[in-house]
Amino acid sequence: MTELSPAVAASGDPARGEGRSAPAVKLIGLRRRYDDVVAVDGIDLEIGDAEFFSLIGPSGCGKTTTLRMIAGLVEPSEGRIEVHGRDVTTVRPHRRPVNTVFQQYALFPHLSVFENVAFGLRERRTPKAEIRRRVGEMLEVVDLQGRDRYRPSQLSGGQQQRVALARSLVLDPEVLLLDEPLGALDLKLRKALQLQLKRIQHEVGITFVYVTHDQEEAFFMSNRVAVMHDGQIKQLGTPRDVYERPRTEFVADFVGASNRLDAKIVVARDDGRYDAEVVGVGLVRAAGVEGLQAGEAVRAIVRPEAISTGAPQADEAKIEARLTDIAYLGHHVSCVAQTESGGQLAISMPQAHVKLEVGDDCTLRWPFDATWLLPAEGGVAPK
Amino acid sequence: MTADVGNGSAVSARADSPRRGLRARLGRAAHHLLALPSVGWTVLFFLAPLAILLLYSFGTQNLLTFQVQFGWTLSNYTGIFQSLYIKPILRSFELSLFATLACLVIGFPVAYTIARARRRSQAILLLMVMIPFWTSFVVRTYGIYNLVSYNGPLYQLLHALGLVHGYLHVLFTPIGVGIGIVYTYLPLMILPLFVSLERIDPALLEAAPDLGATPTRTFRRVILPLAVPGIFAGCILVAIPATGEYVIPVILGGGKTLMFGNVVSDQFLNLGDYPFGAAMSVALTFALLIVLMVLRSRSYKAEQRIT
Amino acid sequence: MRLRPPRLRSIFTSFVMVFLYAPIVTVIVYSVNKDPLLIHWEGFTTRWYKQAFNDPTVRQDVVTTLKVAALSTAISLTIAVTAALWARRASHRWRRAFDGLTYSRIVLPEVVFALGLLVLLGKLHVPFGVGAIVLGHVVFNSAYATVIIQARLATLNETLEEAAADLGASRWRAFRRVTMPLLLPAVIVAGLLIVSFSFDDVIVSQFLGGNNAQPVSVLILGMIHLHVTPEVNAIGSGLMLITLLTFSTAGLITVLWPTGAGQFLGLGGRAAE
Repeated sequence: MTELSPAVAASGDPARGEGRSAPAVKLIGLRRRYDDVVAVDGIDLEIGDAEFFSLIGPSGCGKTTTLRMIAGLVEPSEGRIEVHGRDVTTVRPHRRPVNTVFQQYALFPHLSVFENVAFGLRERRTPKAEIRRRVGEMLEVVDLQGRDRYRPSQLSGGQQQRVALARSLVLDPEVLLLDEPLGALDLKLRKALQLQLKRIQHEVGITFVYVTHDQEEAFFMSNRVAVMHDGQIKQLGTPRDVYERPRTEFVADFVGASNRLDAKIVVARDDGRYDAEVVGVGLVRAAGVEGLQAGEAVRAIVRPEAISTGAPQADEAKIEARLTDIAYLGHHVSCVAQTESGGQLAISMPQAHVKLEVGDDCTLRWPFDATWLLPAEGGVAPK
Repeated sequence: MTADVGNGSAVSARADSPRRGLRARLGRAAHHLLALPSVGWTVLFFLAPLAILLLYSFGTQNLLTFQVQFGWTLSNYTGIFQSLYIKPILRSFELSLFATLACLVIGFPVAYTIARARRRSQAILLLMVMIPFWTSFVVRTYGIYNLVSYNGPLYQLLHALGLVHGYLHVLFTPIGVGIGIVYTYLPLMILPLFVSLERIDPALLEAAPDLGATPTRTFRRVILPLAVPGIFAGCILVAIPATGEYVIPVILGGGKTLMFGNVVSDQFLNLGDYPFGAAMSVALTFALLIVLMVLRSRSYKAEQRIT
Repeated sequence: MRLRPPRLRSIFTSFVMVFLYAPIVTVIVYSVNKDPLLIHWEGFTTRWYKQAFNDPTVRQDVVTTLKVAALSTAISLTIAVTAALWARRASHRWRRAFDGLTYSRIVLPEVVFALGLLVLLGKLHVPFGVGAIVLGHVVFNSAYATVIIQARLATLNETLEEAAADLGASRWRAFRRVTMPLLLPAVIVAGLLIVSFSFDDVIVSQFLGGNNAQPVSVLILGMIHLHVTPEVNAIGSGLMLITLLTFSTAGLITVLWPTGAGQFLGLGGRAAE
């Protein structure tokens, strides 16, 4: 059995409910090849009970394939899948204790809402009275009571998504898999449903494994996220971990906009922080990925919302720059500034703080603590 | 480069998925079993007959005993060109060509009229064109027989107009057969033409005269080129089956062997010369295949030029 | 518009329409003409229909036609459904070959393969009759049915079957509960179409019918040669009506049956949230 990778072991806040001995989902060395293309390249993962867990990443990173392997719709080329300790790697999808909510809902068009939700129960030969009761209850949970005679084509997108959810939940799966279920909906509806999904997951207490390319969505709902790229997990942790302490440039970029400055490690201190020489700024004392060596070329990451203008304080970094663009976005203002060394910085500030115009020279500042150092290329792989 | 191939479903195993034991392999074999009815039937009752014809076409036959020797001779094929039958065979192609052109000339204005009609009228007109096509083909051909018979309705009409005296000599002639073919295949020409013509942006038809084009020129330089895909499609749908027609010449051509299909079947059913008949069948098939391929490649190129 | 004066075109189109219906009208008119020699119009009668109805040959031939149509339809549909299901997941190469086989059964002149079948069955000493006719009919009928059913199958998203599996249905159950109901309209339409083709087929029916089996279409063909009577017209009218009805029903089903296949894409947006 493979050792759990340091990334998984070090991932901050583990799932709630550690009462059960076996994790809800465990992936060991999972790989999937298509001819000479490797879609999933070695995944090791443990997901706990009642955890809302998200797999995020750009298109083509392997997250959907991974999800489908857990569902049993795709056979792994290598590796094992366990659900609550039980090896399900070779178990056919219709016998696995997991259910899926598909990206396009996949509601049966020739069946009513009631029959759609009852589908799995009928397969299990559940008695009629019990079917009626359980379907009725589930429709209430997803707030669709009274629509059981409707056909899917008569429902709106959001309603269809909830039927798909009900259809899976009514079967009491040990794990629920969701494959970008909100992708086809408009923004406002998406936000409303994100809230509902979070509430339902909390009420029902089942492990949700959620796949999405929308980082904000994942952060909003999840206890932990795994950022995937090129078939591998690049980082695993709580949303806060991943945002504030990314392990690679890719992860840093994926979970939010960030400024990157070249830097070099001068001293690796005992307290875990580093002294680094940042181009255009000078000496900075900041935290970073562990294991960086003195003399190593690194990148310093600063989030746009950490930067402000005005007189620099003692524990702040500073840099001279000229504002080249200001855009008013409603809840904040987004600026771009050009530094003397030729780099560009993105700044995000509340409206009230902006007193400058395009073309103005100014001093930009941010707390040393808001700087994060990581390796210059690729970064430390989780294994 | 990786691919998030979300559709690599293993609900049915694919050729490149890993072997997970005997069960997966059996599953794949079972899936291929689904093809058996179709392939089996096609091989037994479609390919085998064609193969037999091919085989026979290279054989020779003893005219007295009707015993067939399976040699490897091309004499049957060369014999086609030297025989009496070359005339009806060529006439077959002529007739098919004539019928196709006639369908084109008659069908084009009709298709154009329907294309320019209002939505509601369009549906009705199309329905009216299709309904005859939905009635029995044999009976419709028999209807033509009624129509063009010696003193039938057409004769009555033409006689009343003073155009014909005596009786109408159309039935049992190539002309009669030609009319029958045109009648039967006309809807098949009108429909693709309609589809092509309907796609023409009406704005083009207003722009052309605006730029100084006469109606004839508008037709030649704008409408005709854009209708070319439909023309090809219609010609394929008419010419290919018409060349192999059997029933229409039988009903409207009387006992004479007027077209290729009749000549061929005559060899088998009446004369018993299987090798010769087989060679003619194979030749007919090849001829049609070639025409089909040529028309399709031309049509494809024409389509490219438009889109 | 500008092509020719509209009136000229409309008149021309009307003439063509008349041309399209004239033969059909003559058959119907002749079938009710009292004059047995069909020279003059001598009044309306249903005598010929009664005569046809009571004619034992006609009755036997109708039965033959029905037998052939029923068998050929049942077999063709089975072949088409299994073939379409296979083709959906077949690799590209095999799929091309399969499509070629389907296409060639439609394009090849019926005369050629009917004769080939004649020779083959003769060599194998297979008796001619209903069975032999069915063998031939299925060849082209299954091709038409395959095309129709494949087209419908292509509109069904595979995800539906994945969802069924995910919810606990084995492959067979998923087929029965999801795929088959959604394929049903196409199967019915295909069935109606090929029933019509069977009713109307002459070449295979004549060559392979032998002495015992004569479908109505071949009967009509023979009667044309022997003698021209109104009875032929009566039988013909009957056949026309039946084929018209089956085609129309097929057409109606295609238009009116709720497709349902594409609606699950969340594009409905009908009811308010």
